[in-house]
Amino acid sequence: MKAARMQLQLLRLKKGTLFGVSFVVFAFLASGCNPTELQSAGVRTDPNVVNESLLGKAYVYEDDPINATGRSSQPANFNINKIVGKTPQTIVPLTKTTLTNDCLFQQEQYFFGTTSPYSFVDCLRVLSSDSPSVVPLQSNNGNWVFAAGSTEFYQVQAMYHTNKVVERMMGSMQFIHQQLHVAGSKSLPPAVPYDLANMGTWWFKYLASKSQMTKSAQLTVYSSITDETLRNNAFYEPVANAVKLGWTSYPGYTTGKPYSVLMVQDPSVIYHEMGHAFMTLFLNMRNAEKNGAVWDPLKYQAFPYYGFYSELGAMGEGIADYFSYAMNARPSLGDWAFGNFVFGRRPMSEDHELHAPGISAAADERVSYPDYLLYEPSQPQFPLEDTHNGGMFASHYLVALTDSLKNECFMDHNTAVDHVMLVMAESFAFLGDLTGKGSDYNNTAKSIVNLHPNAAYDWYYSVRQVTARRWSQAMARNIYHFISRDACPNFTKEKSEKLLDMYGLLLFRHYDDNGTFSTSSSDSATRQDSFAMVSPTGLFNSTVGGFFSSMFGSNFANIISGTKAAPTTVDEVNRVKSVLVPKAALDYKTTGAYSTIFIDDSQSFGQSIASNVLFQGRVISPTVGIAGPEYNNGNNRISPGEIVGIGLDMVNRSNVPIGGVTILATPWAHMKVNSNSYASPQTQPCSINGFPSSSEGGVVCADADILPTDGARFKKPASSSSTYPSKALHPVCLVQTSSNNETRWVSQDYYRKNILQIEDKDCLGFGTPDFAPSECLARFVPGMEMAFLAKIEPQLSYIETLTKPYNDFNLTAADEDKIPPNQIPGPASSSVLLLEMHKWIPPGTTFTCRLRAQFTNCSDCFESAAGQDEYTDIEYGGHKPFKVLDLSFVVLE
Amino acid sequence: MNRRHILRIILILGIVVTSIMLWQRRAPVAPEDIVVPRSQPQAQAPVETPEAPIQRGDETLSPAPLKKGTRPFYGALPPGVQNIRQLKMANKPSPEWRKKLVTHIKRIGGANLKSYSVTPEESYVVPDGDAGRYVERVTVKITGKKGEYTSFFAEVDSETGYVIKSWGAAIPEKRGHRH
Repeated sequence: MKAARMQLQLLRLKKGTLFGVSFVVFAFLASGCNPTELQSAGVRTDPNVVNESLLGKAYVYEDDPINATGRSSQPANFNINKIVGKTPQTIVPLTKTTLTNDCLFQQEQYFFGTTSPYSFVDCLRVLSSDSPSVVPLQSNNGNWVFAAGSTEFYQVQAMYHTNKVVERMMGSMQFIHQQLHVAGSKSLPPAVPYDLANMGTWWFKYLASKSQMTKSAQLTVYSSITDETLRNNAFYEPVANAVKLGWTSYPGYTTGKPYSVLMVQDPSVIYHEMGHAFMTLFLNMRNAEKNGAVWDPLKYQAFPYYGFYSELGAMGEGIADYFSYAMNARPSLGDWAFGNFVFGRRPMSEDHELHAPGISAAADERVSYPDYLLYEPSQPQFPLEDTHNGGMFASHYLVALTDSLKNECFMDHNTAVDHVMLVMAESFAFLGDLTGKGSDYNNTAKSIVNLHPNAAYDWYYSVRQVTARRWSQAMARNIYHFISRDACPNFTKEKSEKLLDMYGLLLFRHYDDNGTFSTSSSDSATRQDSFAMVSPTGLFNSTVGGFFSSMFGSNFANIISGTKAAPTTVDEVNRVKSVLVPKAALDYKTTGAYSTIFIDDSQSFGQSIASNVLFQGRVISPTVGIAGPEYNNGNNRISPGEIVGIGLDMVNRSNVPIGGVTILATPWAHMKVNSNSYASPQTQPCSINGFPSSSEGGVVCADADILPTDGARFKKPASSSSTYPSKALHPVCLVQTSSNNETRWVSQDYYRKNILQIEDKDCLGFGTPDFAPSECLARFVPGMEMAFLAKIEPQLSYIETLTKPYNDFNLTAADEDKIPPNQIPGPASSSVLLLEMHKWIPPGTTFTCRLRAQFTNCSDCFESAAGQDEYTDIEYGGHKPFKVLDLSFVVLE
Repeated sequence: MNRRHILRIILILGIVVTSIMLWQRRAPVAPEDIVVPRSQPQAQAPVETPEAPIQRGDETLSPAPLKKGTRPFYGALPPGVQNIRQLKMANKPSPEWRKKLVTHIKRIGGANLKSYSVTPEESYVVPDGDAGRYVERVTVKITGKKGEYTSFFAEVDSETGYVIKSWGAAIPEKRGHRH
């Protein structure tokens, strides 16, 4: 009996051991399952029980696995459940059965002293992916609790963090509107419009294409797209008004393996993407026009990205990074999604551990413009031309500005961020204004920004892109007028300028307080820096009772109202780090213009370039039949019929770097129109910098004779009863003709008619809306008529800037460490212009194409002399703000 | 009037007031009328009473959009054109525009183009020099065989399918080539 009892006890022990072992094994196996893998149907609460305390709520992670745990690294299969909080958080209002949220913008009504809430119901939604079969997530008995790691779980997390940033920014928008239009006395008429609510530009009304806010203005966040387009990627996609969150291809990832590292796991990535969205809103705040009683969005908008590399694109990344800082007060982006795996995290302050030696918070060791445009923290010795790296000067400046406001003005984080958002919104509302008006208070019927409504697209997207100079000037102006002279006098103009200078951003001589108020000249004799202040057009209505005149009269007591006034000048003592360089420093190689250009006329290039450009969002339209890749012969010369990539490997002759080199092959005013008749227009090239001389056919041109005020192009009129414009922008290439021992430069229209007898229908570009007979033979293809070089180091060329550090490294590196040539980054596609040549051009024909170049830290590109007003938008149609590059070449067989 | 009558009157009054309040709250909301301004008085700051005469309403200050046929005209009429009926047109709308656009996108997308979509959004007229031009606003989405993706808006000639302008390309986080 005793033995039997002992046996039973043993069995019990064994069972216990067995159970214990089984439990351990089960637990082990369970932990072996990758908890971050996407699982389906992860309902975590009992579906039959309604938990009142969880209604509309869920458990969320507030931060990414790195920052939530305080560890410097975590494995790719990190158990996300470990960082999910224990207190449920509100995800959506109780009324929502699917994962949608509402936006609320509170607009101050000046006269009534009231606040009107404007709500857009279901402004925001989250779906798991953009697959057509995906259906909206339903609540789980009123709550949003799903198993950690499930697809449903991540949708809920995405909504939580997206709504968090939306609510934060709606609060900022209310603050911005209130500060600019209602509170206190202001010394500058604001660009942010008063009637934001009715205009609908506080949200994405332009997507509705009509006056009302509709479902198409809804913003969608796709929480976890795991296809190839989203590998190491996330998007802000304006067309879909969507944020797409992808996945990280971590080391060891193999195709087919579940995607365990997701962008949605890193809230800083969500905040960054939403930063692009809000920057887009800022840029387009003024881009609506009133038709009858309603505001309609303009037909096209200003976006913070031009495709490829551009300075606005780079600043856009830095500014989007700042939105993450605004949300979590941590000057670092992507610590988990990028940093833990793919060297993509980005610091936003000089104290960050990731920075290279030599970077610190000391005044002369900041991440400054243009020194750090090609800086990649994980490999600082090797340059990289990329928007995400190039924008770090902007994020670092904004974080430093926020810190300054905290210190100088005793503001807490959120208040300081609100003020930074105010100056950013104000700056971008102005720079992105495609109506040209610039402010509700401009009653002059003249544009003060982006030239003219009919030309605003061209000016915004090519001729006058938003560069670091334009942005920092606008920021300085708005800091001065809305912070130093209003919200916080302790943050003085001097402190603001010194801070800008630490970042190399004191790139201007005055604040251009009232835009470029375009007359045909910026000369002091005729300039007008100011515009009359009036009540905003269209606001005399029942809403406010017509008292805007008195309202704005008292609110803008310091407004300049004369016809001439000096703009606010920069105190030159504050310019220490920001070095301005004369445009003469941008030069050809010593061996001349021809050796400066690099040409790709291979067939493969001709075929691939259009496709590459297409994937950057530009559709180019090369002429078919008369030119094309089938004529490309790959001899690195320009031959008849070819479509040729032309890069300019410009040299920097100065002793400091130059940044933001823009080379334009867009039409400009360099021809005098002697006859504008439809049948036989007569033009003559203006002599600019001595070319062409009068003996070669050049003529002296006055601005008033050639500069159009509306950006008109010298293109074929619509009907024979029309005439060409007498002042216009002309295609850039001239052709040389010789007769009677005399050489002259003439328009291509003259040459093709009189020498080659080519008819319109056989010209390049015939049949296109911009068909200009004066580019019948040589034509820069629209969409590829602008090149951008991020930076040129002192005494180097552009290509040397990009490649020399790699080549120098290879000189001394062991064979096994040498960087293979195919891994050394060369010039980007954004640095290339595309030229097509008519197949009937006789070999030996000589062309000169008059390109225009400018760079951001240029000392003599923006005004004729110190003390003068900045060049007007009209003058940007000519040569004064630019260095003219006469690019001559002979067409060879 | 006894206490019962008083209670009954109070009850009836209550029902009436509640009914009125409910009736006022059930204002119909059109699905597209999403912007709903509601004034809420703020703190008791003294508000100056308007004294100036009432101004005209918004609707009388801005003209209704011009139309060329059924299409709205956006922008400013060319100098010298007083009436939109006088506006010469630089092109003629053709149903072929979309087919031509698609053909063009396929041609320049080349072998790498995996899929594409072109979605018409609006037909309208814009100024073009001294004339007008019929155009279409479309959205384009494309994917490449190597995982490339973008989308953008485009303004397209209503006759030829030629892309006049494009804007709003997707902003990617994928970075450039890094050693």
